[in-house]
Amino acid sequence: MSIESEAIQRAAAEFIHGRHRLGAFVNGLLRDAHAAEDVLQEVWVRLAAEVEKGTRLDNQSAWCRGVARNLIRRHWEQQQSAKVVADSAVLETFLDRVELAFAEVDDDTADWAERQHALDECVAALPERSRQMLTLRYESRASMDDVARAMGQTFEAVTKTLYRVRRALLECVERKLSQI
Amino acid sequence: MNTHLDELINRWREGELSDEELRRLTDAIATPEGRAALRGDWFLEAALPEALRTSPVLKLAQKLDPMATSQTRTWTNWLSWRPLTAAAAGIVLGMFCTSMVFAYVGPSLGKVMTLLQESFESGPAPLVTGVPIEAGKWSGDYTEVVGEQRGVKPESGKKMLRFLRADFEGKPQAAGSAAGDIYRLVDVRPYRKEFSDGGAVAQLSAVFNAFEFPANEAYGCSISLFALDAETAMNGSTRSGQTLNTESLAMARNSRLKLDRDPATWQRLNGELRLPPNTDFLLIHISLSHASIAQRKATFDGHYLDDVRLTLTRRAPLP
Repeated sequence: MSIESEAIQRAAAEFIHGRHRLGAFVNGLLRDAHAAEDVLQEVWVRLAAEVEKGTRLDNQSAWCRGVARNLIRRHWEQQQSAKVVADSAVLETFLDRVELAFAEVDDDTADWAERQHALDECVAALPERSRQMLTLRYESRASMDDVARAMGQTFEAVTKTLYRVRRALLECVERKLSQI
Repeated sequence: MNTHLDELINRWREGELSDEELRRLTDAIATPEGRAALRGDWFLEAALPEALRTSPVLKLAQKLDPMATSQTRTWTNWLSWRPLTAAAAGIVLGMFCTSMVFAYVGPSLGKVMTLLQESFESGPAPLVTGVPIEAGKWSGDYTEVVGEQRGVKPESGKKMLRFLRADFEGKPQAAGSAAGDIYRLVDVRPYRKEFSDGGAVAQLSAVFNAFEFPANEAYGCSISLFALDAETAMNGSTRSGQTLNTESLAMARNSRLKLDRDPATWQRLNGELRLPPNTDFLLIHISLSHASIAQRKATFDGHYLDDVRLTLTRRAPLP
């Protein structure tokens, strides 16, 4: 195996290992799963090109977040409807702190697979009606109005319920992870 | 969690944060606790769709066939423990990859790379200039991106594409047009090593729907894939439909003759094309047409397209 292909394989392995965390970073900022997927794939393409050039990256995760941040900023510029209207200084500080938030868990031992597994169990334990509501909102990506209509509830009731269910899930995941 | 911070994160997620609230959220995540709260919320946002799909599927699969569960888990384990294998194959793995779960345990045992996943949620409106000669843009006849309309809800996300007319700006010989066409050119040269041995197929899928049109009307739809070399794709000759039929390196077409009249049901078309090794571009062609001569006209009253996917899969040719 050539040195070049070994470097690509190492980079790919690390990228694959960290893809969910990077995905949460990108998706959290973009709030659009399809656009997030595009950004994630573009980050990989650029990473592979960089490694093929022979560049040594001391901190690949940070490099990927930096590239993703630039791509997200460009996406926002292209999508002028994006609700990111604050002055650029505040937005840059916000992005700095979000990057820091994810950099802080680069060495976290509880990796995504454990979190996902814990969440799977927490979701499975939810009452059927709560799971239906989440499915409508997060899998079918229905609007809050549509969720309310489908569930026979008011907009406000659905908003409150989803808020409570999300908090319960977060607490459930943390509880399960603390027991590992 | 701090309720105030929780609400700010919630409003960011819903895209409702004002300038002042963004300042407050930025201040709140100056602390490690604030950042942990944001991280936790975004983890949930990214992971929930997968958890919702996986949990019930696993439960049901376990009831029906214990092997089905072990197959799905096999994929998970494979992903966890064999990343180098994936890397060597040049695979870019998606974040929200339930479709890949099934692709990996499916009959082809192939590796799936998503080249395009389009539900018209973002990006520029399709051009109305006929067959594109530039990759990465939808172009064709008159269409528009719309939300829920005439009883038809988008299959994926909040938006879908509506076919408006069977012609485009400046179309020569537009009279008599009865098919609304939309195209997209996809550059597959970066993925050549995946198909240079003739061992890969491109798979295209899309869903169609229509308002409850009169019972005496009929509409047909089709999806096609053309493998093109760079010269043919970009020299403008593909704007003549005949060139696509005669100059393509390969083509595949799948037609459904009639759409149903139920706005609640989306009808999916799937097609696949084995890629010749010298393919530079794939041209997606999606078409909707008036299905009978009597009803032929250039306009469409409520016909929609959504969830277009193009993937590349390794699969050995038949012996």
